[in-house]
Amino acid sequence: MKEHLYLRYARNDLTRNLGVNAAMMVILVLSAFLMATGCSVMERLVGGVNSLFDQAKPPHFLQMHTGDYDRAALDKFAADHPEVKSWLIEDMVGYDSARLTWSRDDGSSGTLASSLTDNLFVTQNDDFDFLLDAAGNIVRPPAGQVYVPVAYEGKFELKVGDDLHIRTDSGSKSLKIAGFVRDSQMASSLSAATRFVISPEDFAALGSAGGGSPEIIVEYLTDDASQGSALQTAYESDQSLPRNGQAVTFDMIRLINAFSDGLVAIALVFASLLLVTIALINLRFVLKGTMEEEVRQIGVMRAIGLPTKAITGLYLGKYSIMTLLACVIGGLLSVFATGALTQSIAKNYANSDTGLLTFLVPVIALVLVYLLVISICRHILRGIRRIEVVGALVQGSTLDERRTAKRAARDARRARRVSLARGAGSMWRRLSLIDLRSEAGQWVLIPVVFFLTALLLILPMNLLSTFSSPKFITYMGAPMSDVRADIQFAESVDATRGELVSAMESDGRLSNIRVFGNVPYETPGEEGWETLRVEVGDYSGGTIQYLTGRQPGVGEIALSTMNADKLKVKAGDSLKIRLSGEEQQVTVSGTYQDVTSGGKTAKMQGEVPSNAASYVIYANTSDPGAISKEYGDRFEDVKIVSMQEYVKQTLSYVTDAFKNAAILSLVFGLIVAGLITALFLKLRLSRERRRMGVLAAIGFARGELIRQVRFKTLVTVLLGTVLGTVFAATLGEGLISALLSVSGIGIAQLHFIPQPLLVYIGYPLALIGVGYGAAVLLTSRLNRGETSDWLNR
Amino acid sequence: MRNYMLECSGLTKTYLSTDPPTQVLHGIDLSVEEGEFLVIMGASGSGKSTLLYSISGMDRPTSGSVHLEGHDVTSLDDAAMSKVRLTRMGFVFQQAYFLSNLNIRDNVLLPALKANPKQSETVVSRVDALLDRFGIGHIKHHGITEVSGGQLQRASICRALAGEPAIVFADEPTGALNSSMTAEVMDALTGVHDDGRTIVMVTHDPACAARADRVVYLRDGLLVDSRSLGRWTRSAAVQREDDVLAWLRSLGF
Repeated sequence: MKEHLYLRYARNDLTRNLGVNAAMMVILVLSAFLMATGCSVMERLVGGVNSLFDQAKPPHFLQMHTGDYDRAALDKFAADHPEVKSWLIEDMVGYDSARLTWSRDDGSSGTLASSLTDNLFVTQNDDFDFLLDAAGNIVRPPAGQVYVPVAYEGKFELKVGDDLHIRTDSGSKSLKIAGFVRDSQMASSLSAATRFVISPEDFAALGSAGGGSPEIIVEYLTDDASQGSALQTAYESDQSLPRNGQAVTFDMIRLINAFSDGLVAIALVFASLLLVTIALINLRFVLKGTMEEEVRQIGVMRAIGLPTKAITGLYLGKYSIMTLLACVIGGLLSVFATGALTQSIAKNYANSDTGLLTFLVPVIALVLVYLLVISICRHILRGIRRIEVVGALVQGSTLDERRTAKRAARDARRARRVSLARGAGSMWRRLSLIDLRSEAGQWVLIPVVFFLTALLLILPMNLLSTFSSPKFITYMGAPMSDVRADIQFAESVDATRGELVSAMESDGRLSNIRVFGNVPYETPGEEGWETLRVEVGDYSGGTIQYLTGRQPGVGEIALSTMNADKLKVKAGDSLKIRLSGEEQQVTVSGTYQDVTSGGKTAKMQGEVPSNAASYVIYANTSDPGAISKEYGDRFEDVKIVSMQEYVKQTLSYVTDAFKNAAILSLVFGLIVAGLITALFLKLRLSRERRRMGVLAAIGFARGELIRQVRFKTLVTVLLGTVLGTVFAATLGEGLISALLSVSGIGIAQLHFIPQPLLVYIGYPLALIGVGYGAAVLLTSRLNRGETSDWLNR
Repeated sequence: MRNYMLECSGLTKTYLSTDPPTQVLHGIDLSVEEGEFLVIMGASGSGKSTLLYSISGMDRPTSGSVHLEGHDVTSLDDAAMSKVRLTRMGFVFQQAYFLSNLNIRDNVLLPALKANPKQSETVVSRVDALLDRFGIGHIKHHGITEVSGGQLQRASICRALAGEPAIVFADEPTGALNSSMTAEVMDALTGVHDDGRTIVMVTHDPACAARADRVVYLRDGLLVDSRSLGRWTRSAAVQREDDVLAWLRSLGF
């Protein structure tokens, strides 16, 4: 019977206050939806990466190398380290993207030239580090067939059955695409290389055909993944081992894999927490407002002897139903959104099995949202206990006598301080400002909501614009420039460099040409000398941002933050390094952030050396697109791209995913801000009816009453939005930096590269527009109805 | 032809928000002379307050016309009507209806300051004089919760007078007061009338009605009778009250 009463009450209330309840419902649904989606994406990502790792068994430590190496030394190293469970040397042939084309039976064709990653042809491994197809099978293509990296499937719209053509020095070699592979090591766009799987026969043929550059990866599987770094230290202190390429540990592979989608999941959860906070603040306001509005009914219920618990139950029942419904709807919607948002995860990693956790994680998140909402409701509804029957019925007050007296005294104190005659401006504006001051406790809802919404809108967008800005390159340890050329796979790196540089220097369209050579120096580590890859060149005009110190001068070295941490040095310290046995002492001039090469790089001032492992050349031009195409055609072994393209491709996963988070936040933020403003004004106006009636009676026109409400809304909306924008622009960076630095990707301090017009002008204006629009909509009703109704009802 | 302060003819008011629509006023013709104190009486639900709100431009009559000082005010738009209320009319309600975030003086000042924003010093000294005259000058800086109901209602009369209106409308100004406060307020209103101000008041207290020059009686939205009482004097007060009561009884009040 009691249950029925609660339900009936809930139903009646839902239909009577349809607008308020619908708005409240939308806000709750959006909060629940975002919370469930964020958690699901995170679960899917972790599941996807785990599942890929389970099947693919990536190495715990790997070292890349180009050129000759001592096989016996590797055998000895493995034998000397009992923690090595298994190891292998993977032979690879690298081809520049410009040498790869494809064709289809219907006559269409294309080139892979625009890809910036190195294309490594390999055969399938036997023991670990497997390359897998979509179903998780270890692929072993027969002769004449190739499995292409899954990233290329989307990027170049390749299909099974297409032909891939590799232009070798002894003619074109064609392979049929048999499928696409996922690569646990090189899945992320941050990875500089990607692998194609071919048969051993084709591999032998490609190796001897010429045009490619042979490379190896030495890979180790240890007893436990955490031993990867220790093994790396041991490896790097052994001088006989091959080491002129990148070295990567399991933790790094994992981090790079989880980086982009992980950031998005974090962004979504962060956004949903903001939204839930907004929803709770709003709920508190609505509930208190409802109690004040229905205080006479509550008084009657108490007068006829209903226990407080039963009255609380009436209200709680309604909110329980609403929250429950919101959680269910939000949860269901999140299933679809998660599907859409995790497409790239499923593709690049693995379709992790949907297990108990897939279901439990969002459900637990939703249950938490539910419990949070209900406990806040309970807390507020405890106020019903304090409502006194006489006060409620006679004065319509939710306060007991003591509180009424207290409030009256406070109002009187305030009223004594105000002076209408002393104010400036029109009377309605003076009244509005007095109102705002005396009812600040009510109106504060609007600035708080708009403050949080401004953060919700601006921070994800700032992250997106930062990660997609060409200036972001300075986080990647490279100076700002218009084009970048990489010489790595040329047969004669030095000769190519000479030709390229002289061609560029005689080209009037190019300026500020800077050449840097990569030199494998060594430095003392815990277990002897370790490799320190140093970019040597002229840094005097450098434009990269240094976190501490400055660019290196003669006899100085600058280190990436991760290297500085690893070597335990800071700006001003000295560091011993050696090259070909020749030791020297250099001073650390400063540190900078870098996300490339695992975040471990160094820069030294000096003559560009010959015989470097690879070269990077930067130049400025007004037409990077044309220059990169022209030079790319002319120098086949050189990868030359516009910097914008370089950043775009390298960070494409991150930026694509951030785009989703930024759009979701924008849309949800604006909807919620508009709804809450409307909700607030609706309740506020119904409570201010009498006040407006008095003002109308003594000679204020409706237009002036409307202007008052709009003015108050505009002032509070502006306040919140401006504060939120300023916070986002100043402390927001610190907040995001803190989040990023714990993720350990080599960025300790992120400086936003915002689109100022959009985020600091456009977004705030949109937000203010939405708030003001809601006020215009709600106040337009004030033109209707009789003044006496306002006074007497 | 006589010059009326207020004149209405054929006034009807129908509320469309009810189902079926409720017609509250059925064609009222009423004139108020300049300087007259007119009281509208009638049983609950007879339409007295509706009549007051309709002739004062707070609500719009469904049909008929209202002329104030010879000008038709029924056709004015909201802004123009508001200006008329601000500059030519004063209101006293059953409850004081003050803004809780302003002190007594600012509440009284509000309409007058709004009407004369450039003469705030003149307005303030006029209001201070009014407050002193009605015996509440000493509480002018108080908040509205710190004073008695009678003081509040006197402040309400001050507010109605602050803009120096041509006519004052009062809707049951003593309805929420005890007898001694009622006398306070009625003395104040009588004083206003003595200054030559036109007053239209709704009440169902015969003692209050006895203060008027003329009383009209409303039943079911129609004016059914009227009685002229002449100028009120304190010495004849009891006699007038008895007369009014007897007249009202004859009308079934």
